[in-house]
Amino acid sequence: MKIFPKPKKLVLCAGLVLLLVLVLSFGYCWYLSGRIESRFSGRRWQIPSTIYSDTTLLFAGKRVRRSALHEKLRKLGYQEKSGRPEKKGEYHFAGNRLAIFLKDLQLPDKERPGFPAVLEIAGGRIQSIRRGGTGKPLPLVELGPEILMQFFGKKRELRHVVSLEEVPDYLADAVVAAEDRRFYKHYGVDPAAILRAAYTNLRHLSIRQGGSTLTQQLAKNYFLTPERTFRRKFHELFITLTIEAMYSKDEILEIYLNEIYLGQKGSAAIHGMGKAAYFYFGKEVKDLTLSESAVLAGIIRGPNLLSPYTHPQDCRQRRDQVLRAMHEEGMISRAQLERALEAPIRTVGFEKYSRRAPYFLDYVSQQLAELYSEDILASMGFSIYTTLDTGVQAAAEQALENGLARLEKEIPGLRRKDPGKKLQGAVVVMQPRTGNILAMVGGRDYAESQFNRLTQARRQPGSCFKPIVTAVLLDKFTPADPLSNQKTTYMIGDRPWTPENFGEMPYKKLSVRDMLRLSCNRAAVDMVVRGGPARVAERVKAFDFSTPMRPYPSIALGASEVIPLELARAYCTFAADGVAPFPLSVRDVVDEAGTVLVQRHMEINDVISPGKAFLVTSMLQSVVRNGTARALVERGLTFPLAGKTGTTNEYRDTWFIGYTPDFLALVWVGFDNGDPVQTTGAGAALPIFADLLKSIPGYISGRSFTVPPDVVKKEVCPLSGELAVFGCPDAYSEYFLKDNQPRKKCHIHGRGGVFRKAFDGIKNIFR
Amino acid sequence: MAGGVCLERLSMESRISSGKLFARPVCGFCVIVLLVFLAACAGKQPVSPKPVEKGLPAPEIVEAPGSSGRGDNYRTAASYSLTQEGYRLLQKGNYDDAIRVLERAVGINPADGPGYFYLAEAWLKKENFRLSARFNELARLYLREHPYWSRCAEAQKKRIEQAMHKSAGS
Repeated sequence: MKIFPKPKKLVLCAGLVLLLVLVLSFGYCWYLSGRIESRFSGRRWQIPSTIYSDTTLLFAGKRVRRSALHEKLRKLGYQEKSGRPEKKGEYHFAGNRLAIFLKDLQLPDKERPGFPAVLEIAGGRIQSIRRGGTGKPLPLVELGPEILMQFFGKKRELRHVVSLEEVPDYLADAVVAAEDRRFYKHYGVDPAAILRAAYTNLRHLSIRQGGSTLTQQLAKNYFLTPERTFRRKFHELFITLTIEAMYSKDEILEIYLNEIYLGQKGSAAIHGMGKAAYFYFGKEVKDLTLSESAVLAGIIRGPNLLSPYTHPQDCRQRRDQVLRAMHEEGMISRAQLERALEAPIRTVGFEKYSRRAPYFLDYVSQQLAELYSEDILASMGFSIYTTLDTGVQAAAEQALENGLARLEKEIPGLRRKDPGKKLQGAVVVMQPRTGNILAMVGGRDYAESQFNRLTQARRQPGSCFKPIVTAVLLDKFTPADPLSNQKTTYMIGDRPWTPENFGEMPYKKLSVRDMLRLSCNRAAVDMVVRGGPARVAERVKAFDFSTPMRPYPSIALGASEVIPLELARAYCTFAADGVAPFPLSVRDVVDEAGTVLVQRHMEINDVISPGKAFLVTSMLQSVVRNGTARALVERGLTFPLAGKTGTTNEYRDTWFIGYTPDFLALVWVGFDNGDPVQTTGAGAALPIFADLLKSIPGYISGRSFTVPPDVVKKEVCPLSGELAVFGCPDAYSEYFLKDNQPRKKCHIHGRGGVFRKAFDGIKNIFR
Repeated sequence: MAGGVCLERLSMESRISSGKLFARPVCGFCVIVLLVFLAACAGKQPVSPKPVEKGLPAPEIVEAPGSSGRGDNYRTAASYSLTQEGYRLLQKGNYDDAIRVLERAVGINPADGPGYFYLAEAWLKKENFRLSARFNELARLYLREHPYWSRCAEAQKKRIEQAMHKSAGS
């Protein structure tokens, strides 16, 4: 009887089993290799796209506030030093002097290496800019853009991919010394390391060492879920062996250095050495020192417990461990070790991820959505450069917040308990020449309401529409032409309509200029009725409003709704010599490789002649000087400024739009549900505009509006609007279009004796 | 007669030989005054206007028309440096980057006449004749008081019109 099978059969069975295991293993590895290859050969990581603000130009003569400059530099990651800055990204204020070592600037259209510069600031202005070292005067310097937002996908990961060539040798060495000393010797799994780690951990009765190799860690993080099961370990082993078979050690290391988790920035995870170098030390990975490299390698084991931000002592201890390990492995000399051990760990600090300029970002996102899907934006690592100026944006947000709070305090009837029904406002700031949107605040509180009142709302512009109808009638009317302020009833279809003024206006007649200056409704309607409402509605189309303009006399009073951003654009026409710019928010979209995918430039359209634009501007300057917006002068805004207040029926909408040749801002205040604001544009919107302007002095040049060649100046009689003669009371100088200027002498005061006529004749010779 | 000149009927030769011409300082002084007066009346020699260069004119600081020249020179200087950079990029044929820099220049200084001129040139090279014409209008507006640049802008206008006709024809 056979009790035990024959040895030969045993061996044969064992061999068959082994063969079967090998074949199955081989097959499984072959299957895994396909998955690994498709994962590594395609896009390896999801890199979120980033939206940037505009750069900041500093030039001699520009008005700056020191606190704003500090804040700007801090947000750009510059570090303030107690002495002279010696490295890129450092600065030092000493009295009136700002010494700064500029960072490298990389933009789609230029690359500029960083260099030292010295700015002299006195009297609230930059007095001079010089290059550090040589002292060569510089006309301007450019500070880089700020990050506004990142498009995260489901994984909120921040990563800056680097190649192995960019990584300094001692960083790669530090990682190997810290995590896998035999990385270049094993084939993915290191039994010796496992045994050594087990022994060390048992000896100390704590986890001091891990036995996982870099390849195993990669397999775990890249392909597998974090649960600890035997099955997962089994998969990890096979994936590890397959990776080792398919890729070189250098390739594996490169992927590891870009994958490894290295900390948290708020709710976003920092992955990879490229991003970690910026996050902790504010520099590119190639600029890391030995000590800094050891810190990053050290925190791999526990980024949240070994972070230099939260656990500096533990971080330092771990760094020292890594440095000693590097020395033991012969990677660094004794001298290098000692120097690195003494080096302090200096981090740059960080701001938690938060959404700035949210309404503007929504507006930008909507435009990007027309070009790219959300998945692409969340994974392709695009850089999107915008026109937003963070200083102006912050000033606009603050001015609106303060202005609305002040109104609610002064007028208790404006207070609302329900946050969703509170008094609202909106501010947009643009460069009228280029169309660049410098700031956009679409509402009081984005968290409460994401509705953008600048781009999505339709509101009546009220008296803010008067300059537009005036502009289209300047071939028929001059600024000096008298308009009737008499109470008049008009028939609109079969219904009577009697326009009323805001407040008492005793004059029977007003010039076109005074109609705008005092915002006289009756005179405005008289002008439109005489000019032809249908003609006006037709001509207003040149301003490109997307909302319909009703051809009724009420068009003079802004009864047709507009989108506020379009109204701002219309006013840009007056500031920019009759040329309307296309509102620009996105400048460039660039892919990870630096290829420009989208490039947007200034787009301008002729709307009215430079002469008409100047006449409207001149009249709107009267509004500011001694009209409904004279409070601006009383608040100290005495440079050349044009503007118009606007208030609609029952005070539902209040507006102020003001501009200089280089700056335009529109402010709207109202309730979403149309409740009355109980005050005028001058009371509600104008103070917000004034506060905004006063907080950004660097954007106001103080330059006058240029008189174009198709405009002439003549002395006219205020009563007739005709050329003044001797005897005309209070004759004044007025601007006219060359093609539409008064030719006749004043018929009211022109009759008279021979002597009077002779005197006029002599006077005309010398004119 | 100007200067109260008094001419005596003596032959030049006898006057010189006898020294009587120079012996009469009053007449000599009158002759000198007359000569000076005649030279002054002749007026300045007419200067031919600087011809428009064949290539792009190099940038220079041009103040806005009617500018007082006070208070905003720093913006003009800042925009000039950007306009210079735009000019260099144009010369290299790098039109998109030139446009970007020039847009910044006119953003700082909306009266930058040469900036608009170069923008018109860049858009002309990119065959966007509509935009080129718009910028040329602004260039003519802001350069009208500068004779050389004004001529350049007029010449540019003609080139734009020719290019538009050629493009329409083809």
